[in-house]
Amino acid sequence: MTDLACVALAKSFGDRAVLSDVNLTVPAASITAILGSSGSGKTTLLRIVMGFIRADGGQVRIGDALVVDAPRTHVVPQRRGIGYVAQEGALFPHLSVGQNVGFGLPRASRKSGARIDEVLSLVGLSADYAGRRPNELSGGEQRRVSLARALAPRPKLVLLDEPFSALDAALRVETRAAVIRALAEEGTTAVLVTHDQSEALSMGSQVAVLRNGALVQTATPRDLYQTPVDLRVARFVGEAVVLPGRADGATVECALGRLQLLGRAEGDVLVMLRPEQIQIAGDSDPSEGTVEAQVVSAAYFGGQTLITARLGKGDGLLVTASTTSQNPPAPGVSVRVAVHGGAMAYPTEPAA
Amino acid sequence: MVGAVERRPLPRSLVAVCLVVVCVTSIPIIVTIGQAVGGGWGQIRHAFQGTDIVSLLVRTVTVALIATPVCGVVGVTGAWFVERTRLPGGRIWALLMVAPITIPVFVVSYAWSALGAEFQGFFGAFCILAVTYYPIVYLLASAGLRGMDPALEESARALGCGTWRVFWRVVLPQLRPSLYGGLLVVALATLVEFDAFVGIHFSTFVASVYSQYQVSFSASGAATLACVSMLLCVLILAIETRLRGNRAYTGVSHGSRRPPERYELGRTTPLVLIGMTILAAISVEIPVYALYRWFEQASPQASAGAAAGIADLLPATLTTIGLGVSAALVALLLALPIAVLATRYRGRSVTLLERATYLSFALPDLVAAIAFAYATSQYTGALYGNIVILILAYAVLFCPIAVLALRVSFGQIEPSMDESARSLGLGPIRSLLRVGLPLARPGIAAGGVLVFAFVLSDLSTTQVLLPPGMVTLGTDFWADSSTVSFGASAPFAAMLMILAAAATYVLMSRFGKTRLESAS
Repeated sequence: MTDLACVALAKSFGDRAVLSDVNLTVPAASITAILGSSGSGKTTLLRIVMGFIRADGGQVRIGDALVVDAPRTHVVPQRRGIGYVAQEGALFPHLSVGQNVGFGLPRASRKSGARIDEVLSLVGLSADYAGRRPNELSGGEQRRVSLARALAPRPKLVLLDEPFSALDAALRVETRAAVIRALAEEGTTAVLVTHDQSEALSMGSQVAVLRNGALVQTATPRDLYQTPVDLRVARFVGEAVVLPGRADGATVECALGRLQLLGRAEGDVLVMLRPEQIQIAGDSDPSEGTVEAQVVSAAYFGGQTLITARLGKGDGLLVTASTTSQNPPAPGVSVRVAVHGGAMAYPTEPAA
Repeated sequence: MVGAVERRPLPRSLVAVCLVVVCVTSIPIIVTIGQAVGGGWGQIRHAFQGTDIVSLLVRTVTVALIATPVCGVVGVTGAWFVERTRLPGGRIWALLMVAPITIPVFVVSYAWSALGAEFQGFFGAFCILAVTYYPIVYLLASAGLRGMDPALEESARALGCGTWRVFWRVVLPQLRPSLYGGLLVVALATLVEFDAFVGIHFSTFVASVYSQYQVSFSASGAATLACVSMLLCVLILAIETRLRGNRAYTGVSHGSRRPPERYELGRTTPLVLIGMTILAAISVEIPVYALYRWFEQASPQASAGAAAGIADLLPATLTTIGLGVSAALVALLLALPIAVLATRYRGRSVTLLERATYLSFALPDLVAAIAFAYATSQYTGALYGNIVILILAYAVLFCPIAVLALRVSFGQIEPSMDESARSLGLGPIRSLLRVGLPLARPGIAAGGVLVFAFVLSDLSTTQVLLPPGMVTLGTDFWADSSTVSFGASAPFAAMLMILAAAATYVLMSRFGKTRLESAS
């Protein structure tokens, strides 16, 4: 069962193609994050699904209903029954919080106010928020009210356009949690557009990476992080250690020794590892499979420390390792590093 | 946002409604052109003989050229002080700034003529035009100021701009669409002004149009000359279109706004207060004082005449209110689709449709009224002499003001408001009713007050189209001021001013507040 399906969507502004051949399937009651840098076309995709702009080609299906079959069919936004949370909320300034939340409800349930209180508590706001004015709310509260407004008419699908942008880190985490909880409780399918990879990975049960108007990879967060489709995606979704190597089927030989490959490759390749896969073994343990290295710098993030080390003696390659130790080795110290898990191999000429 | 500037296909139903509006507002223009052409070449040539058309035209353009920028400066400055500073007196100044437009212009004209001989002629004409029309700029500018996102000004201050530079570099550029619109209406209105000059001896081009009727009894001659003034107005419209360009001024930031910050005037407070007081004295107290003198002057026999006239006061007042309110409603209704189209869509056809509605403002009132009378007598015999035609004529004539006022407010509503309403299942019309119109209340209020005020101070259209047996305050004032004495006409003028002031107050206090003020 899917709640949203996009097939071969295309859109150009003038002669500039913004979207080309976008195919996306969103399973019911899940969160899909569309991840892309600014200008990648993610907002355009969202607005086509909403119906605010027309696609040049392709189809959009919501549940069983065909809402876009460009260029012939274009169901107007108000008939699509999709909830929408705009950037920064877009609350109606002339209405109270309660009136905003009840805006899309039929007159009778607007009057009773039961559903309004219900969705307000769903997003973690008490019922006495209903009487307040949008301009009296903090940024995080505005986003929550905006989500409550979108959820009130019980849409099957909600689209969120950068819903946590311009919120500070703590508020972001808290608002994010409130949103996930509310969506899960209502069993609503959600599509979230964001440029923040940690947001996409942590919120989405599926992440679609949009680049130059094309979806380059759609996968679970874990698959996307561990087996990105190319080096650019690898670098976009997280920290990557890239080394030259020579592959022979299932393994690859590189400066970190002979490593297992995820998938198969032959010949000269670029090997990609995540910093968490490279572990500091300590100088005193010259066991099998470890490589000598010298710590160049250490960046402390609290929970983890990213250590940049130079392999070998003299002028070896730089690699980044991540450690959760609260006593990480200091710069200048000699260590041994070991690789855990499989590596990804990519062609030496990265695809443009 | 992409959505704000993207060229979307025009919705056919909206364009169709706008076309109907333009057809209605074009009635007097088409009829007038028809009359001019119908008279034949000889009539057209004849119309340009006799009076010195060229010097009248030059004089008309000159006084308009001087009065229009003065109105612009006074209106914008006043709006900024009232809306953006902590001026002692607060809302009282808002009322005083709007008041002059609601005083019937012929009353103002007689008031200035009573001041002395130096106000006869060009100088008096300039003064009357300036004090009568600056409130248009004021109203549009203050609606613009209220809808402005304070974050923009704050950003400019953060970038090191002082109050004056913020005004010059951030506030004024954002006000440009409303300012140009205001100046456009002032320029058009001053070009075809006639009533303002009835008290002082100043003849303009329009006077020569009127004399075609009154002296030569030539409708086609008058129509021919009216076409000349229309050409002039087309020129002004073209200039304004060039100036305004096709830029989008819709705010790009979303979210709910905070109320705008007001500036402390500090040591300049007395100076500003003195300036505002002088302005109020010139524009409001002169006509009020004249009124007082007329009451005083009333001789016993004139008082007897006045007493007889007083019997007319109540019906005249009721008729005037009814006409003003219904004309304002119809004008707003006509203006609504045009304003929505002009603020939500771009393109050549949009500009053309919008500008077409302004043309009716470019016809001298009398010409337009006669065109309406002619059209109804020719094609809809049943409606001839019906009050509906008068209301329609008012609405068509003053529709451009309503368009302007609505444009300013609609232009400031972010597209995300409409989009959110759509996502919640509302169609375009219900979205307009539940989101667009409430957010556009300052503009609706401004437009309503202006149209109402223009109806109150209208003489020519009323005299031509008012059904026999009915009286308005304006026609009664006119009748008494020309036959008996000012003493007898004073009550009517007083009632006109009271009505106008009351309308201004009610509308400004109920709808004209800042969105955020009215929201809380």
